[in-house]
Formats: sequence, C-alpha cells, structure tokens
Amino acid sequence: MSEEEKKKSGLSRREFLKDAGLVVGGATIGSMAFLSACGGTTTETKTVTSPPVTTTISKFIDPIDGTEWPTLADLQAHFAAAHPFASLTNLVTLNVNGLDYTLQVDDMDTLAFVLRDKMGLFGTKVACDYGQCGACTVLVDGVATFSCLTLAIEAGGGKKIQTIEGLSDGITLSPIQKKFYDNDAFQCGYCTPGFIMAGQGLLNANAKPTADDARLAISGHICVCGNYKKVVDAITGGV
Amino acid sequence: MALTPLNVIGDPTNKDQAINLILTGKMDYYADRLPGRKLYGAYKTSTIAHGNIKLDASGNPLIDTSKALAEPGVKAVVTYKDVPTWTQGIFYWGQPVAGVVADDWFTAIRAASLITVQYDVAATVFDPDAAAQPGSPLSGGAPNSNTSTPSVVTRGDVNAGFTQSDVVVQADLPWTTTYQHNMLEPHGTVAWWVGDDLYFWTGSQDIHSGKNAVVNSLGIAANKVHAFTHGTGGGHGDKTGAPCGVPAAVMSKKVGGAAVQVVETRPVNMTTNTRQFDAKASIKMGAKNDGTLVACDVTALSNTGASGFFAIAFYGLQNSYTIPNYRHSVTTVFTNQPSRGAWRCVGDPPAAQEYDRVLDTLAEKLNMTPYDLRMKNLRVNPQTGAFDLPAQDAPNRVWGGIGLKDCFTTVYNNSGYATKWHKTGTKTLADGRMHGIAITGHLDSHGSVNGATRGGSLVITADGKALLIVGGARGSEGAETICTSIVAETLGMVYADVRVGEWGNTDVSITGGIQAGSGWTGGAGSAFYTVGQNARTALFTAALTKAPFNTISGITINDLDAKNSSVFLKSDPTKTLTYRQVMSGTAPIAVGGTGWAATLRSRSVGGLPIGTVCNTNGDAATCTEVAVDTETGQVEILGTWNAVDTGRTIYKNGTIKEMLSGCELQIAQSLFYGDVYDSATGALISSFYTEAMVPTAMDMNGGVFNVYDLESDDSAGPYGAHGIGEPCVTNASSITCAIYNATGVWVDFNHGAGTPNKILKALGKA
Repeated sequence: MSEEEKKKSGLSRREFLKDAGLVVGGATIGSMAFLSACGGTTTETKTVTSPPVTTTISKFIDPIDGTEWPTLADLQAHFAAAHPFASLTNLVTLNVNGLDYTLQVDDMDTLAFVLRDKMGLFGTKVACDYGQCGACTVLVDGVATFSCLTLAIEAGGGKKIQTIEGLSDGITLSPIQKKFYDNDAFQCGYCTPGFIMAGQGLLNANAKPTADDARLAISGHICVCGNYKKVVDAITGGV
Repeated sequence: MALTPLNVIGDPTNKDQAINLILTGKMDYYADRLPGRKLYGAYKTSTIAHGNIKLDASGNPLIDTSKALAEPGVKAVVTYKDVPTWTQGIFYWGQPVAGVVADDWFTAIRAASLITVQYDVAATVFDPDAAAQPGSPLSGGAPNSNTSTPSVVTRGDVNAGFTQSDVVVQADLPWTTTYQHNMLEPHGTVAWWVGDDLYFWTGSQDIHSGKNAVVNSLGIAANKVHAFTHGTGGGHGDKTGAPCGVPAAVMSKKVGGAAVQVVETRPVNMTTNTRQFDAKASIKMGAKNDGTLVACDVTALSNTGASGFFAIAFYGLQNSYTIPNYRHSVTTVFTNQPSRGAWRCVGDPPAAQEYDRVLDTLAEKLNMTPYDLRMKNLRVNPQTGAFDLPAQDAPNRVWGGIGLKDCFTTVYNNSGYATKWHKTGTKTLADGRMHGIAITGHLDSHGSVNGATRGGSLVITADGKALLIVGGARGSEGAETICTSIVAETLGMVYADVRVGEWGNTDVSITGGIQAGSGWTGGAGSAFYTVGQNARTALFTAALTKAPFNTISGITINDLDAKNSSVFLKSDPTKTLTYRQVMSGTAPIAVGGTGWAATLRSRSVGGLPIGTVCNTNGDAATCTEVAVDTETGQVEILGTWNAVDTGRTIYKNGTIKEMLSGCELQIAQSLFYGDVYDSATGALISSFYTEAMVPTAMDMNGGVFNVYDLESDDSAGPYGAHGIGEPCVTNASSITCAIYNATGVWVDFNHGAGTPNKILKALGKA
C-alpha cells in the first residue's frame, strides 16, 4: 500500500491486516510478523463497500527484524546484508486456502505445527499428534490428510491445502458446515474441524455417500463425547 | 403431569451461539492463543512407579539436566524442586518430575527425554486386592495404610432382613474395568507474567477452582492471578482445575515471564488423566417370594490409584429402591497406578455394573422378569407415582428428581420388552446368534453433589438486551444455552436478545462452578435464574418511571409482566414498553446473583415451602437388545432405548444429542474401554487411542439408538430442570445384563471391558 493509498484508507496495511474481520478470502491471521519468514499474497475485501473492493498485496517479512519486503528476492537481499551470520533456508511455499505463503520451516516441522503455530490457523486442532484421532485433518488437493503426519516441506510444490478456515467465508457456512449445524454434530467441538474436513474430503469424491461410506471416511477419527451418529447424519445429509 | 407453559425454554429452534465458532474453527481453546510468540514446555516423567528421587550429600536432587540444556533452542529446565505440585516422592509410573522450556514443542519433548533421574526404588503394589491385605507394601498414597476407613451407610436391621427373606442371593463380584477420559484436547496451559501478575489460559471445566489451585500452590495473592478459559475440548470430570497451570506458571517465571505453553503429549496426558476407578463388591440381597426386596448388604473396594478421590457410589441402589434393611461399606484402596477420579460420573457406573447384575440374578431366582423386580421395588409415592417421598437416609428432605418410574416404563413400552424378554439363554436368532435384552435404571447422585452455590451476573445494555458474564467454560456447546434460555425466560425477553458477553474470565466473573453435563444446569442454571429475577426487578422498577406506567397511580412491579422483550401491565396489556424503551435514558443495569440447585424452586412439595433444601438428582433408564455370536464373542447392539428425566428440557437439540452420546458411551464402557498396565513396572500400556480401545464410528450404528427426554416438572432446579449428562451413561450395565440374558454368563470386566475375547473366556471358549 502506497503512502497515498494509506492516507485514503486511513489504515496502514499492518493495521488493516490486524483486523481479521476485514480479511475475506485470505488467511485470517492477525499479523504475519509472527511468522518465522513469511511471504504471500492476501486478498483484501473491504466489506463495507458495495461492490466489494478487492486488493491483492504481497509481503515478505524478515523473521529477525520484522521488516517487510515486496518480493522474496528483496527479502533475501536484505536478509543477507542485515544478518550475515544467520541463514534464510528451508523455505517452502504453501498454498493454503487459495493463497501462497512462503515460510521458513524446520525439516521436522509438521504441517499441523506450521498451520497453527506459524500461520495462526488454529482451526486445525492437534489432539494426539500420532495420527490416531483425526482432529488435525485438512484437505490436500481435496483429499483428507492428517496434518500431524505430514511434514510441512512435503506439503509445498503447488499442492492445494484447505483448512477449516478456508471452507467458508467465515460468515456463511458451507454446505457441510450447515449440515453439521442442522444436526448438532458436535459437543465439545475440539474434534469437529477434523470431522468436517474428512466429510468434505468424502463429498469431494462421492457426492451421495451412504452411512457406511461416511463411517469409513471418519474411521480414523475419535470423538470421545460420543457424537458419531450425528456426524454420520451430517455427512450423509440427514437431519 | 401438566407442565407450566414456557416461552423460550425448550424451543427447538434455539441454537447456541458457540456453534458457528466451532464449525468455522474459531472457538478458541487454550492452545489457540498467542500465535508464534510463545515458548513451549514439556515434561520428563518418572520411569519407576514408587520411590524417591535421590538427593546428593547437599540435599540436591540427582537430576541431570545438562544434556537437555545443551540442546539448541532450550531456554530453561525445571524440576520438582521448582514446581510446588510435583514431589520428590514417586507414586506411579509416568509422574512428572522435571520439565523443559524450548523454542518449539518438539525440541522441548526431545530435550526432556535427555534428562536423567536417579531414584531410590521402593516396593510397589499394583493389584488392589493385594494392596488391601495386611502386610502389603505401602503404595504411599495414604500414610501407614493402603486402605481408607470404610464409608458405611446403614438403615434398618440387615441381619433381621435376611432372616425375613424367602430368597437370598450372594454374589462375590469381580473387579470392574478402569478406563480414562481420552479427551481430545490434552491437558495444557499457556502462562505468562507481567511483573508480579500471572496470566494463564487453560482448558478447564471450572476455571475459578483452577485459579484457586494455582493461587494456593504458588502462594501468591488471588488478585495477582488472572485465569481464563473459553473452549474446553472435553473434560468429563478430569479438567476440574487448571491442568498444567502450576508447571506452566513456574516455567514462564523461569524465562522472565515470557509466555510458555505446556501441552502434555498424548501418552503423558493419558497417564496423568484421572480415570474411572475399578471396584469390586460382595453383594447379598434378600427378597420375599413376591419380589419385595427386604435386605441388602454390600461390601466394596474401590481402587483409587496413587492419590485419587471418589469411590464407588451405591447411590442408585440405595435410593432407587425401597429396601428397608440396607447397608453398604466402601473401602478405598491406594495402589501405585495413576489416580482415579470422576469420569462422566462420580462413582455410579461401576456400582451399577455390580448391583444390576445381582438384581437380575435375584429376579431369575424369583422367576420374575428383571423389569418387574425393579418396578415392584421402585421407591415411588403410592399416591402420586412419583419419587417425591422423603429420602430414606435423610427423612427431612424431599426428592427433587421424580421421573425414574416414567423412564422405566418409557423404555419398556418402546422397546417391546414385554414380548422380547425371555429366560436366560433360551432364544437363538435365525443366524445362530443368541438374543438378549435387559433394562436398567437408577437415580444418579449428580444433582446432590452439585449442591454448592454458584454465581452469575449480567448487564442490560442501552438497547434493552442482556449480556451475561459467565464464570465457567464456554465449551461444551450447550453451556451457553442453559444460561441464556433461563435469563430470557425469566425476563420475558426473546431468546436472541440474551447473549453471553464474557466466559471463564476470573477477573470479571463470579464462579459458575463446573461446566459439565450434570452440574452446569443445576449450578450455573440456578444462579442465572436468580440473576434473571434480579434483573427483572430492576427493569420493571425502571419501567415504572416511564410513560405509560408512571401515569398510572398505585401500581407496583407486581402489576407488570413481560413477554417478547416488552413490559406490559397485566390488567391492560395495551399499556406496554419495549425493553429498549425502558433502557432509553436509563442508567445501565448490572446485577448479579447466586443460586443453589438443591432447593425447592419451582413449587412446594409436601407442605415444604420454596427455598427448602432438598435432594435433587438425575434419573434415567435404558433397555438394550443384543445379539451375541458365541463362536466369535462379538456383540451387536440390535437396539437401545434410553429415557432420561430432564425435569425440564431447556435446550432441546443439545438434550437429544447428549442422550444419543450417552448411548455411544454406554457401548464404549461395556464393550471397549479398559486401561492396560505392565504388570512388572506399572507403566500404562494403553497410552494411545488404539491401545485404549476407544471405539470409532465403525463400531457404532446410531440407527438403532432411540432416546426420550421426559419432563417431570422437578420441584428443584431452574424451571425444574436438572443435569442429564451422566445418568444415561451409567446405564452401561444394561448391555452387560443383556449379554447375560443372551448367553447365561457374566462377563468379567477385570482389566478391560466386554471384548470378544472376554466373552469367549466367560463362555469357556478362550
């Protein structure tokens, strides 16, 4: 955002991003300054205008000093000059909910850890971290995937990652979220994002699943509150 | 019984505000806090089950943290010397003894594993039978003994009762299984310091108790501790304090007050969880030939592990039936296993597994159906048919819960029990499997144990709406609806005008008590009933100062009523003001209030006035129909009918869901759950979901679940409502009894539920 644009809007880009409620269609993160090293494009839609005004912005943040740069090359050049004894390696570009984010990750960082603790996408839950409960399920190229068993570096390369935050615009529920709503298919809610993403993964492959299809699709998921019946009803479309 | 018509409560279109947050991933649990700017803590746990951490000559613990500190990214280590809730003494395998703070969770876990600890190993005792014997090694859970003083309840003359009995059965029953919560959200806390002030977010069912525990452990002033909880990802009785709160606060202090998130790994969490205790009982029961119960004598042991609390509770047997000569004696046994505690119930499930078995055995001897035996002896008022007689063990108290008989008859009628029941082991299905059916039911102690006073407050905003401040956790879904529905009903507001402004913030709230299926309705619900009444008085008083009411001489707030968010004159409903008009130009109204579940609230009973202390409880009955394959040991649930006396159904959708989940948990308790320990070390083997036999959707056919919420217009509880979370779960014994009806064998639940292997073993085939 230029200084002129900043004056027009009355908001700095950082201030704008901090208001997650005004960020629609992009990652709902408070500030990318929290990321180890982050770049990406964010689509901003000012919902107070009609029709909505959409602006695409890109920024790359120095993980050490927090300065922002318009391109990755700019960041790398700055980083090399400003921090000669540090390294900016292990960069991976993740396409999450339709937007690209370039992050510095450790080799052993799981996708779940990066989504949550580096990108602030807390809708993805970690419950067992051993692939036994399904709470961390996201879609990778439309397929339900345990993000606790997926390394972040495996998830780059143009793969399309979808989390619970990307399932709807945050205001209107997606069809499967609406079915979970109608069926009250949750209790404490901690496992629910995983069940919803697993259900969406099934629906991507099979638009009219049976109850047995649904049970199989969520067979790697645990709900200790005891709501399997409701979840199966929601995925199969019953009420 | 005709129910008083209500405007908001029970409306099936009411939904909880939390739902959209859950469905969009925005419900905030403790680990969803402070993105990216926190450090991470992990535990080193003991590799012995009993003993002490060795000290050197200077009295310093022999805990070598050098390798952990040398790991890149490690910021600090702590030991039991730093953390007041940890001890030098070790009482079970897997007990936290030290911790690491690091840049990320994986580094913290890895570094914690590098800590070495030297122990003085003491003799262990894992078997509760052995622990109860004189001369057994001491487990250390209690001083000088592994057993508690027995808890005894007696009424009548038990020996004389047996003399008067025509038929007596005596059963020395095996241990029930022990199982744990397995809640999805692991124990954890994010803590940080600002100067001398401690802030922490945790997953807690009772944040005020959690705060108090931290205050007491750290010895700091209560006004210096600021505790918060919003979503809680399952608790089931285990998250009643602030899990990891003290270690997280200490770790944060160690790194200069930076935010530290402590999350237990799944194996550590599964070990530190409290779990349902295992219990065994010898039960002797006598009856007349016509089925009238005359005497009952129970001697029971409860294994509470290293330092648990609660014990097997015979509340259901003691109070559901008229047994004039009754005694039970319960001894708690301490062993070197992880601690026991509440699990969706304080102690009724293992008791029901034991006494329902004896009731069915007695019915067989009497040549009656188990259902007829129970119905003949239900402690109902012969005039009203309800449970409103004085308590047998507290004759100056009346009962709040009154619907058990209706629960029994509902499941009896809907299941077709009358035509389906048969003598034990006599019905074979066309596919060769054995058919069985059983009914169990009981009063459950939850209402009474949640008799503590709870509080709440609200603000009436300038637009005439109510904003509640709730002192408990927002999750589970439904917690909000209890509070908002009760306030809306009391104020005559439309449901959408009442919302919760703040949850689980100890700085601004009064304790709401435990957020749980059983306690929340009676506790927080009663508080907000009072809050609503106080706000109604304030609003009506304000309305009297405004036209048209200020033009009518002599009227008081008693002449006013409210509906659909408008106040009106009872004698002339055309004279009305909306709440928005009442609040226009009026100073904001903020009121608080407290309530207690165990008082007569909605009506007088037995001449006792409203406000009299009473017993209040949940009650439920379940009928289960099974097919048992005696070649494979597999059990299929052909149908389950679950009726719960809700008193008054406040949140229709949530209530139905709770009962359906009760069906699933009955199956899980009876056929799946079970802790497995290494017999040599006491280590928990079942420390992952698969080993803990947690069922999945593949194991459940919800199409055969049938649930019924029965409204009995309870005299206690807000608008007669009481908690329903646990009573339905306790009827897991109906599955055990149905398997017996099918096969003629009782499944031994010791070290695990009724798995196929257990059933084959009972049949002599394994």
